[in-house]
Amino acid sequence: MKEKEIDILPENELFYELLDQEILLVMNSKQLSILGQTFRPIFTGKVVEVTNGFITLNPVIIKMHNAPFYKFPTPLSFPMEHISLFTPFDPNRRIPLI
Amino acid sequence: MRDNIDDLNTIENQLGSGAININDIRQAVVSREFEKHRGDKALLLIFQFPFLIIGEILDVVSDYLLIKAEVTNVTELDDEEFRVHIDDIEVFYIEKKGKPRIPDIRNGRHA
Amino acid sequence: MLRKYHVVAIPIRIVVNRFGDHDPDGMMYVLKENESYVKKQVELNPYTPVDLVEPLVIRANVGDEVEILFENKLPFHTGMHIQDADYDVLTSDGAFVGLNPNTTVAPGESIIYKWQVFNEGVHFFSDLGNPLSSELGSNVHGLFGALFVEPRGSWWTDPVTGKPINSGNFADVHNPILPSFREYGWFFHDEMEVDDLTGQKPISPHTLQPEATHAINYRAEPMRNRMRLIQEGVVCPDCEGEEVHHDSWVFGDPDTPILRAYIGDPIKIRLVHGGAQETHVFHYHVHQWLFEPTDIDSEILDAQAISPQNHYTVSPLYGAGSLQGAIGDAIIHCHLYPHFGEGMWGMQRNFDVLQDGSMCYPNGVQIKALQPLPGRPLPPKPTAERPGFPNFIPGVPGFKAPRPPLGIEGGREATQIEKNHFDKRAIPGAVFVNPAPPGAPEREFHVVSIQKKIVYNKEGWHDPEGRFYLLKEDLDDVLSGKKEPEPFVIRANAGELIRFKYTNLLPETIGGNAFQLVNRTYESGMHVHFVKFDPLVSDGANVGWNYDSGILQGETIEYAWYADVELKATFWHDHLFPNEHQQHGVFSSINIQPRGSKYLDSRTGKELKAGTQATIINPLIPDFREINLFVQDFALLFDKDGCPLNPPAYPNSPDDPGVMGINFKNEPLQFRLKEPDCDPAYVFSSWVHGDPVTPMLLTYNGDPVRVRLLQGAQEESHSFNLHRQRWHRERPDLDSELDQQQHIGISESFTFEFSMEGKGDFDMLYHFGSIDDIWLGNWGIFRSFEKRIPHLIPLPDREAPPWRKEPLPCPTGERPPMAHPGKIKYPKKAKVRKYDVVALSTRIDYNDEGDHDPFGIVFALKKDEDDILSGKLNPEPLIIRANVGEYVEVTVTNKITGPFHHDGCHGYPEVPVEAFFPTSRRISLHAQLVQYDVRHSDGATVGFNDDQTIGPGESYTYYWYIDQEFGAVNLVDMADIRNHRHHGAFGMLIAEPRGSDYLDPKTRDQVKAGSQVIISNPLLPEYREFALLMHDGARLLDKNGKLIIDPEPLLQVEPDEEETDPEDQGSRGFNYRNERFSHRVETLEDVFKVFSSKVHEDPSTPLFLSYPGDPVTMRLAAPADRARAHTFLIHGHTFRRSEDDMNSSIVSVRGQNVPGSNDDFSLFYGAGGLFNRPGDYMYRSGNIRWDLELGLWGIMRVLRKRTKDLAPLKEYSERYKEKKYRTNRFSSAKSFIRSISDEQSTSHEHTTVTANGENSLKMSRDEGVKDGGSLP
Repeated sequence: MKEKEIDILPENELFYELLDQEILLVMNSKQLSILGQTFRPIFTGKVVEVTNGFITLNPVIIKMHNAPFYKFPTPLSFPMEHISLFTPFDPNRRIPLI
Repeated sequence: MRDNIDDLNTIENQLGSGAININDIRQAVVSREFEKHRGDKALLLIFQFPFLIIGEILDVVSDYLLIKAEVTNVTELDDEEFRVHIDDIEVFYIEKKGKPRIPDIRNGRHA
Repeated sequence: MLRKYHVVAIPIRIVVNRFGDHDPDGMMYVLKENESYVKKQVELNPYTPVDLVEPLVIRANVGDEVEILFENKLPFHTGMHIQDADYDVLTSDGAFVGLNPNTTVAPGESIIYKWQVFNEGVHFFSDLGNPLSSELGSNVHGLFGALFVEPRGSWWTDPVTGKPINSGNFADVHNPILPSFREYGWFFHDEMEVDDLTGQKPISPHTLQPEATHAINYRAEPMRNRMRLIQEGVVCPDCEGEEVHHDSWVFGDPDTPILRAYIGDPIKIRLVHGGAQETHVFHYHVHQWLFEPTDIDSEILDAQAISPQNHYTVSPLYGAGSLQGAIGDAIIHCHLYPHFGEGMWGMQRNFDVLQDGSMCYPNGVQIKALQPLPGRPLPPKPTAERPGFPNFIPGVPGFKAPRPPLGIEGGREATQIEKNHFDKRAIPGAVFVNPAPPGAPEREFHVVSIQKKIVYNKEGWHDPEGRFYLLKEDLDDVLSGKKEPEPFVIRANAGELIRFKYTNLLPETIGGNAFQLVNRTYESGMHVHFVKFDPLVSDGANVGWNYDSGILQGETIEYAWYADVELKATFWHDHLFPNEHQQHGVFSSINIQPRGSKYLDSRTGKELKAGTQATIINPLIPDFREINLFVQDFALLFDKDGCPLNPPAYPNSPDDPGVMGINFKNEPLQFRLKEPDCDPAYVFSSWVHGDPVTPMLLTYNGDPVRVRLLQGAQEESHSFNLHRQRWHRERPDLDSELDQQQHIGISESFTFEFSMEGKGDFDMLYHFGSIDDIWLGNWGIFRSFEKRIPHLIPLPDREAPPWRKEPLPCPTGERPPMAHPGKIKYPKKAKVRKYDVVALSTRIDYNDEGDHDPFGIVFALKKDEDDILSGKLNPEPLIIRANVGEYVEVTVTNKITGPFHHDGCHGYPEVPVEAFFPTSRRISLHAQLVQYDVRHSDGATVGFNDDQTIGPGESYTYYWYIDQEFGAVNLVDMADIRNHRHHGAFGMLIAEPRGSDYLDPKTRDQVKAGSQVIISNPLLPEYREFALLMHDGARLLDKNGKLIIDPEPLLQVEPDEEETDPEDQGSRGFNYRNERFSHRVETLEDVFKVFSSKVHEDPSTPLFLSYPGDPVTMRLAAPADRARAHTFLIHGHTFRRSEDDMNSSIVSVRGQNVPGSNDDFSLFYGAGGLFNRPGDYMYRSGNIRWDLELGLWGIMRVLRKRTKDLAPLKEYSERYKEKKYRTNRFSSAKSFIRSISDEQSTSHEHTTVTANGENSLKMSRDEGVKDGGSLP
């Protein structure tokens, strides 16, 4: 493991272990909405930042059910306390979303 | 790096030693992230109405974020100053130097 | 942002295909900037379609204001009435309604409309200046269009050029923070006047009879034209017609829409019904979408019924090509086969290589460029080795599509270029894409299709050419008669790859009788819905430039399907000759179950491979009973003597031939009369007649059940109704509405999940509620036992009931005894609301012009009996209410004395296969959605239940419990559906919030019934409630006593050539009232004024009054009578499609209203819409043909000024100040809450709220206060 740029608490090691890797991430709300387009909070992307409170994916794909490979124009950060699960993941895999 | 250790120290101070709880720390770090970027533009997704808020970070007061909205999912709420419970923010992005800009959707066409 | 459009309504010749079929009197909306160009193009191309001649689509973003300069160049008044938008009804309604100013436009004049839009999606607009149903009207000629509203910040470009566009059905829509998507406007429309090149109604070369045309976006590609090319030997002379109808190899591409995309492109189809009459079913091969696009928990669909002026956004999951990324052509069509055959189809074309305009289709036609969507990976360029779809397919233009590689036993070798496009894991049936992940468990079936006589009932009604699928291993048993034919149902689990061998054993021809000419059916296949597959080789169809994945007689093909998730009953059927033989039984289902499920025979407990009923067991979820019900129409049956039943005017006529059935069975009412009195009250009784032959579900009390409802054939709307049990409309979404009824069109699929709650042994009626259906025998029984019986295994995860010792009931031939509820025990402190109701024979006046039903049968409060019978009170349907948590006792006294309109021969309005059927003197009352004991309070005398109908002069009490706020439901007589219901034997019950009072809108006095009340509740805002029963099939006389034969189109010089379908016969009403155009219109010039109260009086239909901003809830129910589905809509207001679901779509229209449907609309922002604007808002049917003309419209009036006729709504504090409330209301919300909690604590007597006498209500209120409330 490369040297930590920041001081990551042991409790957050499991996030740090996936820095620079592609993951699938699911947040805990039922659905989110951007301008009326609703989607389950399922994301894939490369972990580019891990802090003691949130992680950031870039580039990040929002797995919208009608556009499952939608690359969001900015990176997105995810508060750890709202993350339900994550796993290393090939972002090109096609998975059912319903 | 220095910042980060300072942050952890101040957070520990705030929370009181001996009662450190990882969940509190995680929440506090997110609050701190917004605090550090007062004046910057942020994009928030929350489960609750109005779902999307894009605007300028004005301040953080305890675990509430004061944000001057530019755009939300609901046109009528553009330009409101929302106090958003930071613990309710599901996804966010803060525009930083050298990082992608948050698109402005108010004026129709964009490149 | 303000967007301005200049729109002109113009007359235009609309050519719907390159065969020259056209509407010479077409009309369209067009942007001014395109007007002269369009006219010029049409002049230059009189016999071919012109691109710009399409329904007008303009666009705006959420939050925009839209200003329309509208100019009328048609020879009568026209306008643009928009749905779902906010606007000032006085200036921008596009109609001339009530006391509003006229906002239609005279010929040559113009007007400015201003709209504001707040929700993404379709905002349909159409003309209400001339809404006549016939060809004299504007709508059938094309005068409709839509504003598509996009997410904020969007812009749109032409998919071919990439340049910005101002209008057009197809666009690529872009947004800075959302994926770009392909947007396709898809307007179904029907009843357009279409002539052939000679100016005559087009003739079918098959029947040599005139034929209708069904269209999409002013285009139609009917089979008749293409068939003629075959018959003339121009193309594939060895073909028949239907099997190549959609084959681009034979004919080139159709003129109907082709929606082009690259694999994975996000898509939104804006589906609009711009037509006038029919309810269509939109079916999209390969792709699925969410019922509610804004709710991720919503049910997934791949077929969706749509009635006139309704609309949806169809956004397929995973984009173009679905999850598996399937290339090729996916046909999109109206699944109603006659419509499909008459032109209502197009396709989705999914490319795998870049199309920059340099490539050609195999027939030499240029493939137009298709701009890749920004943000999507660039598709690879075509190469000689890998030219991409469709150019790797080794077909020959002018001949039928080639057969697929790998799948057909003894088939050809694949070419090298084909192999270059193979999936790395190609298997037979999944060659160009294998949808299953590596290692997916496999399940195999060998399926065959055969023809065999099917007998539908004990009277010998039969289909001599029954055709169906079955397992090869069952072939001998079925042919020998050991196994009875039934629709083929197999099962698989989520996550499985399902591999088929299919052998076609069907005869090469069919017909040669009163129903059908001799027709070839030499090819067949298995076309499936929902599951994932490779459409090029496993579509079981012959579409576009795909392979023909059907097979000839005796051949065997392999198909492969992958069930990615748990699905419902997944419909499959033949796609090669469905118009000819699907109605004979060629429809099936594969039910995709939860992973780990096993399927048992419910009788023996042995594992089951196929069958319409099963017990499904699973280690993680409750075991359940499953029954598949396939409703069918166009069943081409003969009676026992070989006479055709309801034969068409000529063979192969699509005008509703034959009869109906459920799973190849029916139980016609005409055979369930018993001498000597032949009382229809006992048609459902098994004591009198034995059990019906229709499917019967057996359960033990409390068993979980999943009913899989499908429609196998062929053209009609059906309305499934089940007594007593309820389910969530969308199974995955517990916020979705609680239902007991479901409209279904062919190929739709629904799952109803519930547990069989009840006590003792009991029978429950299910039926398809239109009189057309139920008369022909589309009803049956669900039977539940308390104790164990030999022929039903208990569910393994439930405790087995003790064995039954008593013998099972047997028919006696005698009427069952009256049911005896015994003494009803209520919980302590229960509130009981009592209604004393009489059933009366009375005249009902439908309007001020004297149209009336002299033989009306109504329910009324006892206190109104004298006024009704003396003529003082013109009855409206009984509309009663009860609060959640209350028990309801309805005592019905039968005072129907006649006279009745016939003595046994009903006549108009007719049903197919008429027969002697006298009117019952008995009456009953059935309520939907309430809780009750089906053994005494169902209102239907069903199966082995006791009698719950009421004899002349007798009284009977039904006991219901209102357990939740389900809103409005139908009350309906079940003693004689044929003779009572359409004469008015129905009403409405509304479940109101706990603690509500019902107040007269003028006096604010407590009321017991009525269509228009104030609902007052201490914890909720007061709201106005407007209740409407929308009904049809009425038999009315005019003021001179002459029978009115409806539908009767207005001002039409030539009578209609076609005979009216039975489902359209009869007059319409809202609450026993209508306002027919015929009383208001004498010439075409009068039509635009027809809704005006300035020119005429206010209409006879209910006039609903409110003040601006008043909260309003509309209650809608459809108690009667026919199979024709109606659309209901309201001007200037919106509501949630599912009332209780905050994620539900915001709409202004509810489609598919058929007998048994019910709904509740809490209008957004109160009366007058977002800006609470006063004015007259029309509520109406969306069926231009014929509802509107026959009077299905009325007014909701939002008053600007206070009037003595309407008491204002009050704040709680105001209400509290009133003395009468102080004495008999709770003093505060707090005390109200306390009273509710007190109810659960132990106390003494229950309180009684009775709606019988004048004073009892107040008295009981006092009691309520004494028991629970506290005085200030």
